[in-house]
Amino acid sequence: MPEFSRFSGARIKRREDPRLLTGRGSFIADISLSGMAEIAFVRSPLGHAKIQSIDVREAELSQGVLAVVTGADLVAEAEALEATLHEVPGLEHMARECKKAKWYPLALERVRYMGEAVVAIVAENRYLAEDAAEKVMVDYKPLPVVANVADALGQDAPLLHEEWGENLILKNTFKNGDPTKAFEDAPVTIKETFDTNRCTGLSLETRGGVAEYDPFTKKLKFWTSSQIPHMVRMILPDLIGVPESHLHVITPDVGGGFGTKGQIYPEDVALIALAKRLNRPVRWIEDRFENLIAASHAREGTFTVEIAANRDGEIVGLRGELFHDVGAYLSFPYGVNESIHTGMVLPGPYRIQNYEYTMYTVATNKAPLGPYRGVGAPMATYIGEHLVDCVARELDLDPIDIRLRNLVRKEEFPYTSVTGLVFENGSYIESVEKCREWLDLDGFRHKQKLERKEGRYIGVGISCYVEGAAPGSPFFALWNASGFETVTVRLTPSAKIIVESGMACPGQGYETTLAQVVADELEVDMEDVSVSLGDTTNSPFSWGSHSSRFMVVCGGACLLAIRDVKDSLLQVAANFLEAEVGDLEFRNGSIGVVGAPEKSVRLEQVCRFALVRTDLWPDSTSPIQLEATRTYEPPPLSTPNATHAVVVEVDEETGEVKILKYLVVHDCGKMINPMIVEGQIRGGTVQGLGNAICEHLPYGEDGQMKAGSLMDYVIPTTKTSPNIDVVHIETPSELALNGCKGMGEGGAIAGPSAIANGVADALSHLGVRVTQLPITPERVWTLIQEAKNKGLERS
Amino acid sequence: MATTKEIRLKVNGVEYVRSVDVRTLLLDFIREELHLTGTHAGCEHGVCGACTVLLNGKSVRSCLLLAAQIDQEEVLTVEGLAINGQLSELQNSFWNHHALQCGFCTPGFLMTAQELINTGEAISEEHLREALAGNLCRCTGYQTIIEAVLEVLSSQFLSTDPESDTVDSTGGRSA
Repeated sequence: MPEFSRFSGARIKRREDPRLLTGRGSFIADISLSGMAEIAFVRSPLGHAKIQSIDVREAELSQGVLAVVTGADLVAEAEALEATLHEVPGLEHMARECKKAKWYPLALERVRYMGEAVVAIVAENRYLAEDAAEKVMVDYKPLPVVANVADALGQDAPLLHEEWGENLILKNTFKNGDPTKAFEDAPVTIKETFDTNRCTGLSLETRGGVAEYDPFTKKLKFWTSSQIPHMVRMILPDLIGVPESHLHVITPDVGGGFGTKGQIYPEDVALIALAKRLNRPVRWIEDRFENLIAASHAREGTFTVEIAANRDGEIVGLRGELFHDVGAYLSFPYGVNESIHTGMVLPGPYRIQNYEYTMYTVATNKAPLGPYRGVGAPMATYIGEHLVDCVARELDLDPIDIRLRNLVRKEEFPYTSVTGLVFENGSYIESVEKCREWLDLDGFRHKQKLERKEGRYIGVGISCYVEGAAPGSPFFALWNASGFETVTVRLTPSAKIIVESGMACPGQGYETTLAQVVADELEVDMEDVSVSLGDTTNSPFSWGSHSSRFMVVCGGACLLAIRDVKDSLLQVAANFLEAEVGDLEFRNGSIGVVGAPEKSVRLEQVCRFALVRTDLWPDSTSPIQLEATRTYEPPPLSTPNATHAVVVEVDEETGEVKILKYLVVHDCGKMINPMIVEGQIRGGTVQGLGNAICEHLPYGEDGQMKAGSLMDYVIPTTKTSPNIDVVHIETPSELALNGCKGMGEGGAIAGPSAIANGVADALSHLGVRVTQLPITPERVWTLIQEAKNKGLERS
Repeated sequence: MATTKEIRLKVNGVEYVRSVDVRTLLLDFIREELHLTGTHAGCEHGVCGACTVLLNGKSVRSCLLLAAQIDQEEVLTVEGLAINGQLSELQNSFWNHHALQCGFCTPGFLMTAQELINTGEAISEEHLREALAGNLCRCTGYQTIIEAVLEVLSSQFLSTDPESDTVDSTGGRSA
């Protein structure tokens, strides 16, 4: 019999792909029900205004209109979303102090950001719904706009929510060690203020949903393009007064999420409330303009951070004032997530123990910020890594040496970071060493000098990070959530394996990788394993796809469940083969007696024996089940690490930044499918590139968001994205059941910092620091001119 | 003014005669009338390319055309690429190279790339990157898409060689 060849660790082609390649995927807009009507929202054109009156008469008479519904109409039928924090021991003050705001499915009396939904039109099709939307007359009385953090916290600032008495949502301070003394004693201190840009996940598929209500059974079905179907089922029923058992949530193929779809939105509440109200299936597919103004934003803040170091480059202190501009409401359920995370990860993978910060989460008249790939870590890494480079430049150290001096070393693992994160193990030092080799740093410096003389500016950017991924339940408690996963594995009479998880998959190949894991455990072909995801009626409860948690947590639960089923199979086979369970082994689709190749039984026979021919059992009244549901609570934190290295060229004339080459040295422990891992690294890194050089959602002082199309919100294309070399180091997790570490967000985390550092390095002769993202050509050009005007040019 | 118009067209080789509302986008006609939902709406303003189809062999944005503009013409959508249940060479190459993740942009990329392949000319990576710059992908970072298309273009260029059938360059096994 041939040896079983394992699937885990191999570059297995994805089983999802044939349907997606042939146009047979089923995305949210592909769901079509008979009698289905479509919804268009009328949204606020103003950043801040009182709704004086809404005249819907003309809209109601518009062709094909079934209903025109305002906030006042819906208020008795649908409650508002309201994100709250849970009083976790030690963080009770946060839960108590954090402001709460009711975010209605349709605005009541007042709008607080441009794009807030005000009226819902339900019509026979979307064309007719949009016709009617134009006929709704809303009389707005403009209110003063709070356009940024400084305005929001200023004296006599207009208030977004009067009952708060201020615009500060949450302030939190952290202190460890003696930063004051560290700064007093340090020979080198550098302080900078950084502004980070408002970005958005911008999945190619926008948000959307289809809702259907059965007035006789009083049950609702809700198809939604979401990363968190079970959380949708947990939250929505209460808001519209139906029992949780009456809401069936289905996530079809999800066309990208990146965190933007890991939240619950007012539109979701409106959709199911309208389906119930009208007794008709309704569909809403967000258009791109709505997506840019009303799906969650991320990353905007102003951060004044100071770093202290010794002459040898040892970093001895870090302190900061972190202001997060989170918009008009707290996104649900992870409002203030980004602000809490940024300060927590600002010290990065470095041995910094004197650290303090104050975080301010501030409300403004902008769309709410929510989680987006990396959540806080992209900003923290950009700031931290830029300051590390500033210190290196001050001390004439190279960017590799200063990192090697400060990174957590192998012998220090497990290392407890200054903010209490435990870094299990990893390859921090090796990953940087590999970048040095790849760059040939000495050779590069020589070349850089020569090219500068020719007027060509090239630079090196390095960025190191350790990620807090796949957290366990204690981490999520603050948000009234948990971190476990549950998976069901069932065997059929013909030994086919069905795996059921409540995870939704926005593109990371979960069906493929779970099948790899299961096939390996049972030594069967992957074809025998089918994986069902994202449907709340045929899956156990799940916390969903976010926080890079799938393979660590869901993969762990799957392993536990399949091992339970294996125990049952062995019990049956022992009976069949008249052998002891302890003498049996799985081998290539069979169970056999160890050392006796001729004594074996095919799994099909075992399953048939167990499930169908119970009459052959010694005691046919107690059949054995070949199914198991198991829950897995992961370790408190999974800590993958990586170092990015980039070579950029800056055009002095145009300010354009070009990526010449890019390397990611990546360590996420054991890999189930390196091909998928690489896809996540490259895709994430290019999102980081976009965040670094072109993406921005700018608001005017009047509260108008000015990037309303993909001509304005510019993301990387085939022309502007580099090829990215990937080197894997595998330091398996000893804590996670399967040796894996969470991955998928790191590219977006390190991308902006690597590129910002590269630009500063290319312009180091001008003493330029990159303190604002995105690094647009205009900004780079301005930096060059300013530096030249200041006469900072060195040889 | 008439609000509907009768159009006659061939989509993926099948003839249709339909009366359409004159303002119906070609995109919506394909999706809602013909139920060919592989053509996706990503922006509806002509930037993202997810709705790309071939009109008489030329790539067009179906969100920027009205169905009423199409008469006596031939449209190819992503559903028309695989023949007799067999993935095309390009589709296979995308599969082998992991050139898709969520798959939402994929039909648009396939159609734009198919047009290039149909020209039968070899092009450089730089030219290819220029040619595909009108299609947006948010998942892959593009590298594997470029690799997938380049492989088909180069195999086609060498097609006089009987040994040049597409090789699974990733060494991947089919799942």
